[in-house]
Amino acid sequence: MKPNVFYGVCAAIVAFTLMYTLPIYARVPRTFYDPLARRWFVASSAPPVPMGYWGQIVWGIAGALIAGGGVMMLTSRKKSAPSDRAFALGAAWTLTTIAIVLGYFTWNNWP
Amino acid sequence: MIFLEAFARPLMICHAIAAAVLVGATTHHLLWCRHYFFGKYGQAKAERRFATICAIAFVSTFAIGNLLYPTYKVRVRAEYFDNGPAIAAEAKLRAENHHALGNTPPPPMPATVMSLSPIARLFDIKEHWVALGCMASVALWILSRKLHPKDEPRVLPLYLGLSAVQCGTAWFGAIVGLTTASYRALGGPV
Repeated sequence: MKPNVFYGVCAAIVAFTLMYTLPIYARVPRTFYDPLARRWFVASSAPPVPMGYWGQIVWGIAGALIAGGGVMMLTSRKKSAPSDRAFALGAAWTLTTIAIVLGYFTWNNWP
Repeated sequence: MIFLEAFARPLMICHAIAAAVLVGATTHHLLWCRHYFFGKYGQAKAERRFATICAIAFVSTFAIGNLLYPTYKVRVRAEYFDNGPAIAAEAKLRAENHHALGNTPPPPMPATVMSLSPIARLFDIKEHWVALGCMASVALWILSRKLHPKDEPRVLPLYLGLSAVQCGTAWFGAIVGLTTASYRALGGPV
């Protein structure tokens, strides 16, 4: 088995969820597309029509690629399989992060 | 003209077909994974194939939905859901048409016409859920190819968890998408 795959997947998922949330939570600038003016711009917030969703996805994908790739490279020389504890903690952190972020967006947008 | 607005209807149909495949495939995948709880990996090969189908369907549905998003954002969200006067005018027009047809009693007009912004916010929740679901689907596909529970049973909690996230977000996305589309198509309470 390749232990670095497990570490890399867990890191990529956690990084995607956190980086996807960061622009909303911390008002970090992201790319907006204005469908009426047909132009792109970078801002931390915008009026209702311009869409920040694509920029948010880019943040998430960038985070997943950097964290997942970095962790896989760092752990690629590790010969031994992850311990039972590492498997349990990896799954717990990953699934908990997803649950928290799903809850955050549900709470924030609840009708 | 808004980006890809001219192709919005065919894109919408493709989005709906891809979403139907997605809901079916993710449900199958989750149901097949239940055998792994009991250490039975006889269907692992077929389950791996389903993981691939799920990932392709999720990425396709998500991509097509994103191509439709500018049209939704302007034509549905800004011009209809968040536009109280437009909803009121449509409700009035529908009531007048009920009278004109005369065959069926018209539904009572509400005292105040509500904005459909809560539906738009429900759609916002859905778009965040499906973004995370799409990511979970791709991660699940990587695990199914590189670190399957058949070869490493200790990965099972993560594997099952991602399958559940994938299935749950696909169902939620489909139900909210249909609910959103029904407001213009069926009228519905305002």
